[in-house]
Amino acid sequence: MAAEKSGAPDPMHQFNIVELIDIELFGLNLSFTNSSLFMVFSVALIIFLTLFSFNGRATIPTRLQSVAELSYEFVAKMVRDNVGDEGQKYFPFIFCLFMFVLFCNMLGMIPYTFTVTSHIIVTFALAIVIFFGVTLIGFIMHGIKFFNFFVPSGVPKALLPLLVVIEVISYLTRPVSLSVRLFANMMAGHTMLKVFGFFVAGMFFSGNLFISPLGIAPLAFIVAFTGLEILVAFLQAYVFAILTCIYLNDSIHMH
Amino acid sequence: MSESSMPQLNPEYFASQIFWLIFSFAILYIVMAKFALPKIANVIESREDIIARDLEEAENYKKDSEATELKYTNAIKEAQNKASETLAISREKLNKQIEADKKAFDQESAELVSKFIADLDMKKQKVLQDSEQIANDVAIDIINKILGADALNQDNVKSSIKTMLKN
Repeated sequence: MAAEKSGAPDPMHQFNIVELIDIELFGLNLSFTNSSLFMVFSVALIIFLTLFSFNGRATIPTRLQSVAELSYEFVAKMVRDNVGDEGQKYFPFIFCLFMFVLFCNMLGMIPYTFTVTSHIIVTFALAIVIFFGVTLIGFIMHGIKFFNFFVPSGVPKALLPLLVVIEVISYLTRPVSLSVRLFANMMAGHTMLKVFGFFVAGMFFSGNLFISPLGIAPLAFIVAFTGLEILVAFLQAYVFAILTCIYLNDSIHMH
Repeated sequence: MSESSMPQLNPEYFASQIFWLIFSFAILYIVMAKFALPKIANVIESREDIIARDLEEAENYKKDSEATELKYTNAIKEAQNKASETLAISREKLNKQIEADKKAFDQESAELVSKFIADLDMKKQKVLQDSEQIANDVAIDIINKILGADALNQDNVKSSIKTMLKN
């Protein structure tokens, strides 16, 4: 809103949070915002896809049922390949994680929507829960021996302190890298699209006969880049889920 | 713009976003883990079962059909053998019959022929005898007609010759 008043186009305007319903609980602002709306909408879509596309458990699946089964088998294979049989317990969580991030990313690709995963707080909340969960699983399964995870084997004793420090740091930065990767990808892509959108509008309506037709160039770029962004939206959801699988595997099997 | 150039760094709505994230993700997890995923697993599993069962059934049907085919070809072979055997037997029987009939016929016909030949010889002889008589009679008749009734009379002949010699 502020950007429009000031006259200059603001590519970050799309990330603004807008309160839809004011909710104040325990002294916290828990308002239902456009972000909340798209979270709930994503969840509703996933539930619709996985639960209501199954009419009478047909042997020959409908299209929607096929999509649901494909996602199920895609994630199931991911968990099986990366974690193994012990990972089956965590399959529902990985499935939810993948589908949630995927749907939030994909819904964000529709113009005028809000991209939930373009906010660092959301991706960081997911990542920190994964981090603590995975660490907890490691300690539950291996007890105090889980600390061996930070001690690489077959290394000269003199180097060990240094390597342990490096291992611990790399372990602790996992939630940061996991969340920033997703957030930065989504934010950068959407900002880029918006910036080029401003180029298109600015050139078409410049009133200059030479510049106006050239607006077709950024428009073509936006079309191509939208395709790339859809790929990124899927890829980041996949990366998020598969890294969670890998962290889980580290905790369950150590190295 | 006034607070921050990046709305992501504005902590005003952090609590709200975390709260709604937990809320929606919890609902998603419960629905998925309790209802949707078991259902999908069930559907996929039952489909696999159906496919396996159908394949097994098809295999059985194939085996059955192969056995039936074998039985069928065997039956045809057997029938063919039987038919050719029957054919050979009846042909032999027929040949024997034909031979016997032929022999009987030959014998009979030979008898008949010899009888005919004998008959013919007899008749021929008779005809020959008859024909001598007839020739005599005809010759006498002709002579009589030409030379008069008694031309062959001894006396007449003698007189005839005498008159011829005188001339």
